[in-house]
Amino acid sequence: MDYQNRAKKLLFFFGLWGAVLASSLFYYTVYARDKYMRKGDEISLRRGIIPALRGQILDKNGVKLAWSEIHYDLILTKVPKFYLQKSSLFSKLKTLIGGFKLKEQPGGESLIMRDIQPELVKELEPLVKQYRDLTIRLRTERRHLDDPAYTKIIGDVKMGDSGLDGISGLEYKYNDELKGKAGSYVVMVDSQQKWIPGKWTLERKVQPGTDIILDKDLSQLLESSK
Amino acid sequence: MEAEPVSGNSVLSFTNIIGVYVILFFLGLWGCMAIYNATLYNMPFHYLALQATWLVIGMFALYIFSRIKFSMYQKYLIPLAIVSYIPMFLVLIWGEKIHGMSGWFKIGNKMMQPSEFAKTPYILLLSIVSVRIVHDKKHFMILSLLAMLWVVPLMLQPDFGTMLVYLSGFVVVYYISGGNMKMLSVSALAGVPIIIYIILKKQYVLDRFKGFLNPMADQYGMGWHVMQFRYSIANGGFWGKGLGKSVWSNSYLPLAHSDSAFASFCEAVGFVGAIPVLLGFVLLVYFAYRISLNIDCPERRVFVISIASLIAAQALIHMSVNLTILPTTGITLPLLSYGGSSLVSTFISFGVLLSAANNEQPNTPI
Repeated sequence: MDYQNRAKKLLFFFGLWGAVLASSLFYYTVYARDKYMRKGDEISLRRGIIPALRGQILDKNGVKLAWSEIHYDLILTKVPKFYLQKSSLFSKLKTLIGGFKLKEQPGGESLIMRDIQPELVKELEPLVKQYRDLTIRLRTERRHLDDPAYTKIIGDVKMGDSGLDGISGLEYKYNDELKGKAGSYVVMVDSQQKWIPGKWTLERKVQPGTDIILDKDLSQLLESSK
Repeated sequence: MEAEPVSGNSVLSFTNIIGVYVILFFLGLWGCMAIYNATLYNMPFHYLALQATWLVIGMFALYIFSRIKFSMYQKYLIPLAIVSYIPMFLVLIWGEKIHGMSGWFKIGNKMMQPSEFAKTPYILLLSIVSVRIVHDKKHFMILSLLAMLWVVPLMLQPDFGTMLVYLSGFVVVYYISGGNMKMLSVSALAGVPIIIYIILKKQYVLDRFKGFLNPMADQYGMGWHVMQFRYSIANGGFWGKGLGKSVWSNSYLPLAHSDSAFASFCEAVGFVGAIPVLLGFVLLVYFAYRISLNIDCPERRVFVISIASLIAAQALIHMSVNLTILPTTGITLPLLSYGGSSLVSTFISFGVLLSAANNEQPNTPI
């Protein structure tokens, strides 16, 4: 019968189309999977450095000549576009940290608050999880003994590719020990280059720099530098 | 129409009817999970609840429309066709423009796509007209003229994906009602220059086409969507990442809840979970075919197989686009993509199909 023949052919056509789709699905999910996973990794994975905390320099009596301090800054990587989202975030922030003013930073970021206390970091964590553009950024600052007579002896540091590098004085002399070994991580980012929650993997652990205890006290150091 | 009734048996095949119900319900349920999976970073339970509500409304609509006598649809065919056709033009004036396409009415905070609801009256009209007119050149001219009438507003929106589905519907009705395939092939060939003209004239269509032919040449530009389909599907692998773990499609894949629903779903359920969806749509045509063999009336028979084919064709076109076999075009996956219009209208289509399957109702002339 004409109808039955044509309906059977139609059914065969759909079956064939389905088979082609199933083969294609098998190709991407099994046969060529690794190839596409690798290509996908190239656009989605970012490697980053975790700088090691630089060691301290102490005189033989344990007086600190140079040391590192950890600071936390609250940053907004992108101000929310929608009014409701923005006002909701800002009112929650106001409740936690009080009044604030956004300070524009290089790269289009805005600094909300500098040097937030560790207790506040804990209180802010749920908000950071909720708003992906809100981030708490760790920053280390190198501090030196506050006496101009020792400035040249202790020396100075500058930011290198994997953390602070000594460029003069004791900081330069003991750089290898003080610096430690930076760690590294891999993170998956989305199409907006934002970190995807839960997609962070530690590749190499950080080895903090070792403390240097000099065999001289402050006055002997001053004497030997003359 | 030349074809004689295949069987005089007026008793509905219970298994086939149940088959349709079961497949529709499970595909709808899979759809709810797909929506949850595709909106992970954007209120997933909100969208899941909405989709589940539409599923319940859809199942209710399926039952109601299947209980209405088919003779009523035949009797009110012309008003039905007009009522569903006019909004397709009105949407061009008062519609909401989304992704460069004016295909939706905004009603409160909900969107309604008239072209989704017009599919059933369109196939109903084509099926009845096709069976009632003499099979010659006039048959083809009248049918293609009717199809063009419905395709024009879609072209103006422009919604090329839905246009393709409507054209598939026309081809199925014409073929199944005994149409001349040579005439259809010649007409299709004549349409090739028009397609080439559209591709060359519209820059974004040309870009999509280039992106489809060689996506790696510009994977951050024209080939972006095509490559994201492949990455999402590859991420799923054989067993899938698990529901709620489709990180790739939630981070990179554009329109993971609608036009890219299949790729997003593949990431979650993998090859083993996606095959039943594919099989489900092919089985719907199979059950429609089995049901149609028990129908005496040619009009009903043509309608039953054509409407099931239209829905299956839409699903397979969507999957073909997601599997990068066809160029990227905006087309949703029936029952699985997010949206009330698509879900409810699909259930309505099958409701009318089940109504047509009932042989005990008399035919009514238009």
